Amino acid sequence: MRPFRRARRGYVAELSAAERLVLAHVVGDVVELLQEQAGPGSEEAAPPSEAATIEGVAPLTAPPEEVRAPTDPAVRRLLPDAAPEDAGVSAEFRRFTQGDLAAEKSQRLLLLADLLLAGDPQDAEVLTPLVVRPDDARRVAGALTDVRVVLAERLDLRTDDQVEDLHDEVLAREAADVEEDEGAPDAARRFLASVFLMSGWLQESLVDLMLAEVRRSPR
Amino acid sequence: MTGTATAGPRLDEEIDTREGLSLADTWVTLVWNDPVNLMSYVSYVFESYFGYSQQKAKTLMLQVHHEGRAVVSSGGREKVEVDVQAMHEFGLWATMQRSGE
Repeated sequence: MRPFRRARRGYVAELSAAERLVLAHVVGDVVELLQEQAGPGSEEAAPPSEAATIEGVAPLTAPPEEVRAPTDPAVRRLLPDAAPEDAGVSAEFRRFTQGDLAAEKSQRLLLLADLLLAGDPQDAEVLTPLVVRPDDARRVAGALTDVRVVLAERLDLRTDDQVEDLHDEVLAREAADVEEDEGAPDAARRFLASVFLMSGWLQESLVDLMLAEVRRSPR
Repeated sequence: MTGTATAGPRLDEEIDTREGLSLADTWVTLVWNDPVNLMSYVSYVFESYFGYSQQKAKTLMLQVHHEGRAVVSSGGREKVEVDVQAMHEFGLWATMQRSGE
């Protein structure tokens, strides 16, 4: 993988086919999790309110009466309580925002998956460009953030030190060129850890460029 | 909104007066530290969404990082709800509460 740089057509990173598949796979898992926990259909349809029924108008834009908080801790982190000390404020916030937030998060994850899977599959190790148009950069950075939030929850990363340790652990393993054994008990954790770091490197290089451009543009 | 038509103007006046007199309707947006978000991303969000200067964004970002949280905006409940929703969309951990709580 080579981190993002600015080119005329947009922000360009380079990834191998193997890296694309691994990242797209995890992105797909996050979309599935979001839709299962907070997508349309995860809630019972709201009964039409009395007023709307009387006027014969379908409450197309009315939010459901009750929107449940996601039960999965990773999704809960993507869609947190807005006011942890005021259940009423949190519930109302959820009722009005959760559907839109979950939809936008899913759509931009799918955009990222499309970018990763675009182009002809090459030899697994050959690097090919991943191009993010400037207009899409904010949404791609958001999608990478959500992927990292979910992976951090799965990896039980709670502190900055734990993230640092994870970096060291993965880099040491790469330096030692340890043969990957998919049957090893910690193989799943090592897989998630490497995707966490890869998405972090991509995000960091993309955001550094975006931040430089925000600072150059007139307020 | 249903049910307010008859009470209309009088209710509005009452709310206006209350806002002028009390801080009870002032809410704040808090952003909390998490081990995931990069300092550069948090700065990007504060500068691009709130339009804060590089210096102000950096001060707030460091406050989040070192103290665990920072107040990043304040205002009426609806304004703060919009800000919290935006922070959640960016993937930052944000909450809201009444000012002074």
